[in-house]
Formats: sequence, structure tokens, C-alpha cells
Amino acid sequence: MTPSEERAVIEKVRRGDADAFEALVLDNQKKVYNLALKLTGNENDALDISQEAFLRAYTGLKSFRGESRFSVWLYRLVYNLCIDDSRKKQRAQASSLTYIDEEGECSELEIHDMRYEPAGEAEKRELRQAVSAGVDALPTKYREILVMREITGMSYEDISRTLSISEGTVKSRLSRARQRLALILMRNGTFLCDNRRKNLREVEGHG
Amino acid sequence: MADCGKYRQMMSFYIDKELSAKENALFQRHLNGCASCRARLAAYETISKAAAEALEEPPAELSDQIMKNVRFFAVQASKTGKKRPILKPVLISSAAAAACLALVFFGAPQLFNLGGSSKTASSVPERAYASAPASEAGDGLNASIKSADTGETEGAEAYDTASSEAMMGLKDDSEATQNSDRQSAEGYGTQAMSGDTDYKAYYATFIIKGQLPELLKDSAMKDNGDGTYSIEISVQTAQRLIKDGYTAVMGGKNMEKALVIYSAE
Repeated sequence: MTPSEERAVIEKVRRGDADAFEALVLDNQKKVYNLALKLTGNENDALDISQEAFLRAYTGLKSFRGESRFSVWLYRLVYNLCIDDSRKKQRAQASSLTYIDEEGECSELEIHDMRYEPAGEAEKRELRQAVSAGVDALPTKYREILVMREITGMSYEDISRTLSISEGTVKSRLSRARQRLALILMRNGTFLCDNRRKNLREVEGHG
Repeated sequence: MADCGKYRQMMSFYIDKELSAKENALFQRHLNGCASCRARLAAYETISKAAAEALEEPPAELSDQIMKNVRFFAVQASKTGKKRPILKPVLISSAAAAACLALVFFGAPQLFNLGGSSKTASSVPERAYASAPASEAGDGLNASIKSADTGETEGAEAYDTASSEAMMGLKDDSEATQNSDRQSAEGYGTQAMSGDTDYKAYYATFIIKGQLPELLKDSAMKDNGDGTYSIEISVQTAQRLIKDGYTAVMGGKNMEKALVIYSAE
């Protein structure tokens, strides 16, 4: 939906056409759902929060001033709902695969030859899963910001407003998040230099 | 190699296209001469691409369920504004009825021992959520299209960590927070509510069924004669109930008492 199409739909809904809201739902639900999924870590919560976010967006549409895109406003609703949700559950931070203890390590990382272009569908799927798992293994603040950026595509400015942090913090945190993710993926073998990968394939009989 | 650190910082911005033209040129120039950074950039780009492709499709029923909730609210909204005692069940579809009853459950799963774990992953849970953003002022939903001048730029601001407390009346905030959650009471089609409950007269009104909270065990209950009991409580007690997860319809923020309407069933 273009910005002006979006404005038109919102106007229709404000005037009482509830059905028109569906266009906004269909347009945004994938990102909303995935955002909630990555932030909460489970499907049920993601579904609950997605429903709730859209419902709140609908009931609060009158107060949406259109200064940013509807989606950005919606992502903010999602984010805040996820925060509330995790507070209620007092979820302990995911402690699974953190390889790195100190941030300092990241800057020392020399990534040698990390080119990896997955060839077939199977490799692509593997990579997606590895990246997804790597993201899940990030410390919360890094996961949040990386997920915000990669899933929603929001600008730094919009991210800073959504997370209530300065743009400078967005920049540095995002940069560190990517570094850390790259490190995780390298450590768990997803990124190997070309030679190693070839050897691995031979060893595993992939030929 | 020594100044690669600076370029590594820029790498993230480069991927997000947030570098200025000048910075871009600088970065590209460095890239041309640095294999290590090229490798790192390739890794970052691979990650970005994989992350974007890793998006899952939400279940097909999600949009259906959302629109069900939306339409239910739209219908309820068209009925608000009239003060009428909802003493007998209103004929609504069973889905809406379930959603209706679910309005009580939000935030208070302990009432019926409902927890997230009871849902199966394959079905989209039917829930209607009643709370409206704090910046909504006025009666009902679409009934009055007034934009609340809260001084905030977007309705979503209401869900700031600070503002979500304001929404529950825990902090004094703009006048608009008074009427948030009003809809949760309006939506009760199958609930017997004692007469015209004047929400504005209380700081908050709770509808609690089944298990009486510990907090209220020693409180005086007034028999409303229809299976419900009214319990007047202090604002402090109300705030504790909210903290414990009980949903409330917020009323007048300057009111000194709150109300619990309790029924055993």
C-alpha cells in the first residue's frame, strides 16, 4: 500500500467502515507476526499479541495522526505489548548459545573469507535456520534491535522512536548486534572460509 | 588494518543505506582495498538477506480472527452511548460470546486457570481484547470521532513503559486515560451487570468471577440480588489488583473509591 492509499483506508475506517480495516491487516500482518514471534520467542504469544496489536490499532485509529506510517505506529504497539508480556512472565533471558562473554571480543574478530552464497534450496533453508537460531541466541537488546531492523525495515529514526532510545544508540547497538551475530554464526560453523566448507562437505559425503 | 575498526562501524550503516554520499564514497574506497572488510560485508549482507527471507507466514486464520474482533467491536461501539442495564443475554453469535467472556480473561488468567499453555499451536486463539489506547477520549469507539489532544504525537505513545502504567491509572496522566478500558464493560453481551454502573464515580471498576482475590477476602460485600456482589475498595487496593493482573475499567482519576463486582459463577 502506498502512503496515500493507506491514508484513504484509514479515513474510511474512521468514518465507520470497519471492513476497510482488513486491508491494513493483510498488508501488515506478516511483519507484525514475525516481529512478535522473534521478540516473544513463541508462536502462541505471537498470535495473541498480533491480534491484540491490530485490535488496539483499530480502536485507537482516531488518535493516529499520520505523522509516521501506520506500520511504524503498529510496530510500536507490538513492541510495547511484547515488553508487557515479557514483564508479566518475567522471562529469564535466553541463555542458550551465547558464545561470547565480553563485548570486547567482537571488535577483535577477524572474519576470514566469510563469503557464503548458499547454492541450492536446502542450503538456503539451512542458512535461514542458522541465522534465525543465531538471532534467538543474541542478548535481548541486540536481538530486539536487529529484529526491528531486519523484519520491519524501519529507518533508524523510526526505530529510535519505537524503542525510545537515541538514534546514536540505535546505530551503535545495531552495529554491535550484527557483529555479535556474525561471531555466533562463525563459531557455530555457519560461516566457514571456502576451504573449510569444501573439506567439510567432503567429510560429510556431500561430494 | 588498523583503521578497519572505523569502517566496521560504518558497515552496519552502509547496509541500511544510512551513510551520507560522502561517507559512502569513503567506505567504498576502503572496501576496494581491504579483503577483510569485503569478507565481513559479505557476511553481513548474507545475514540480512537470510533474516529477511526467514519470515514465516502467519496462520491463515489470523486475519480472519482479527477482523472478527474488529467487527465485534464495531457492533458494540454502535450500541454505546446509551446507558442501559444489560440484564438479559443479548443475542450474539457464539464466537462473539466467547470473545465477550474472554474480555474478562485478559490480564487475569488466574480467574479460570487459563494460561498460555492451554492453547494449541495450530489454532489461532479466539480472544477479544477490550483495552483501548489511553489517548482515546469519549464514549465508545466510533460513536464519537473526537481526537484526544493528549499532547502526544501518536496513539501508540500510550504504550510506553511509563504510559502503560498511566493507562491503568497508576500514574496521573492526561485526562484521556480516564476512559481507557471503558469498552471492556460495554462489550459484555452475556453478562448480567448490576444496573447502571456509573464508572465515572469510581477510580476503577473490576468484574471478577469465580475466585475471590485474597486481597478482598475480608471486604464487605453488598448483595446486588442478581448473583453479583458489589465490593467497594480503596484506590490503593485497586492498584494492587491491577498489579496482580486484574483488568479494570478505569473511571475518574480523582475518585477515592474503586468497585469490584464479584460473582461466584
